[in-house]
Amino acid sequence: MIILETKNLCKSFDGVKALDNVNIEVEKSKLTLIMGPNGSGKSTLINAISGFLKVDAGKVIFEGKDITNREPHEIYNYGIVRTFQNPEPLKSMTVLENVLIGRKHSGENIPNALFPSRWLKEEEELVERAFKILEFLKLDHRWDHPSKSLSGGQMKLLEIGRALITDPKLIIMDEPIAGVAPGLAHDIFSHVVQLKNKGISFLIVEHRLDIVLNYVDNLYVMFNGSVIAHGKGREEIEKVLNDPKVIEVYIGD
Amino acid sequence: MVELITLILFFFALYTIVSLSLNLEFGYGGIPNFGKALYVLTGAVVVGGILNRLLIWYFGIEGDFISASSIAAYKMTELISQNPLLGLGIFIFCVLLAIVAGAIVGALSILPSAKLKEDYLGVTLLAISEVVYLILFYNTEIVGGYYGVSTPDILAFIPGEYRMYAYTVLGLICAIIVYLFLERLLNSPYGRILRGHRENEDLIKAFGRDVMKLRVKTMAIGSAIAAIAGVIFVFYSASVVVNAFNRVEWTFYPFLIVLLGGKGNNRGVVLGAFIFVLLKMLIDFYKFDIKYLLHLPFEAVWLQYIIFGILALLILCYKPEGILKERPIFTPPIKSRINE
Repeated sequence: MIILETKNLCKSFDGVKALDNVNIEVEKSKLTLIMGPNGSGKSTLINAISGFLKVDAGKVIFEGKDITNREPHEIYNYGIVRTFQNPEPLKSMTVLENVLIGRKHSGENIPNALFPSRWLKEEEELVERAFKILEFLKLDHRWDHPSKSLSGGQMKLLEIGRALITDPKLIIMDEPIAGVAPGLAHDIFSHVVQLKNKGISFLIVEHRLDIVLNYVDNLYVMFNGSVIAHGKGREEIEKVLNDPKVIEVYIGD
Repeated sequence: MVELITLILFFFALYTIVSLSLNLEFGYGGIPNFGKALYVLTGAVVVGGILNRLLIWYFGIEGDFISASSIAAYKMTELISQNPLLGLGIFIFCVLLAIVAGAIVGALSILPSAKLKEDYLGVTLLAISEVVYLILFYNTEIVGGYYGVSTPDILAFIPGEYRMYAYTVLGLICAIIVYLFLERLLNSPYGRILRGHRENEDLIKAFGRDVMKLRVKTMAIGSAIAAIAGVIFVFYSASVVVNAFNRVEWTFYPFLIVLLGGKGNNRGVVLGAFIFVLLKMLIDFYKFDIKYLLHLPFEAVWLQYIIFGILALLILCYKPEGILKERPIFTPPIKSRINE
């Protein structure tokens, strides 16, 4: 089942085509990887899907609904969350607060904030869940530390934690293991696989193919703003990786 | 000596109110509100521009605005000296009006700047504030401009020798209410999302928050509070003089207080306000002695600016977190985890 698709997405920056009729499909409960050399349009694509960039033409369809060019905070309401290329924890806030902030809260509204009785119950449940997520990610022992004290890999895990508390349908990740030690990188993906099996879909941009290709279900290769090859399932992925076009793009880079 | 202490406490109350409101916007929310003075001035305009006109209309006074204001203020003060409730009623009316006006001005002035990132936002707010200030300063029709206008003395029923104390108590009561209000407002998920906005607004956006709405609301509350300080200051001086609401006194100094006391820590800001006002008064009191003692090659009036300028630099270089560090927001469920 397809949860997200893009139809002929186009985006130009000063006449340079960053996205040129891009069509991709993300299947439910699958991990879809977008690969391609630097400047091939991967980040532009996920920024367009998540609402951080407005496209010039084309459509983004999520669960049958047109979400093209919506504001980021509206896209969240459909059940899509994203992480950023550089881990961007809220540095001076605690690990727990970083997870809690993921979810919209009735205590954020004014005047609700002034009346704790209106949001205490929600807060209790949220804190409970945040701790469960932190336990799952093995970060619970650091819950009251400022998030800037975490290692790079732990920050990436924290980003996943923040995404999880929103009960997302689709998590979009921009380089989730960039700069992470191999051991921890595999650890991050084993978490991703567990979540995938629970029904969450993933759309990932990642350069470290040696690690990420072990976990991928579907693959798209981009170059100069276009999808030049794609494959679904192990066999097709193997084929794509041996495709002379794809090899040339990488060697040319 | 008692007078000096009273004066210190009065300005401590005023600066506490304004700095706490700036701490909400800047310390918690990361909105660099370089236009803070405008919102204090809004409170002054409510009294000088709106209340005065109502009184002129009520008493049916003819003539130009400034002299009519003097007569109206005089007549009203007479009435208040007979009737304390009238004075307090007018005060509360003006505070409520200032809250509404401050909230509207705050929300409106952030609208054109709401899509801008931090630096541009600050400059835009500064520009808006300066433009309004200059218009009000040079146009004597609105609130008297550089001539100023008289306003009624709302505590005229208190004998003259106690007037100062009464205003100080009034100011302190307002400061306490503002402090308690903000502590309650900010020790909540709202405080958390504000800090999130300060740390990374893109992230907050990606997690479903309408950043623009958050800023508008926050500016509305902060500006409403700052306007209250404007009202108190005007009634205390029994006049509106626009240049008393300049950017040094009501933008730069509140920033200094927030940085000194501790960004994002209300208690720190209160402490910062106290230290600042104490220092300001002492410098004011002893500036000529200091000048002659140290043979300073400039006018004594510049001493204050120089000392506070240096202080701001020192804080930013050596203690950017301020005297009292920011603490995480502990809602009750989180607090119970600490005790475990």
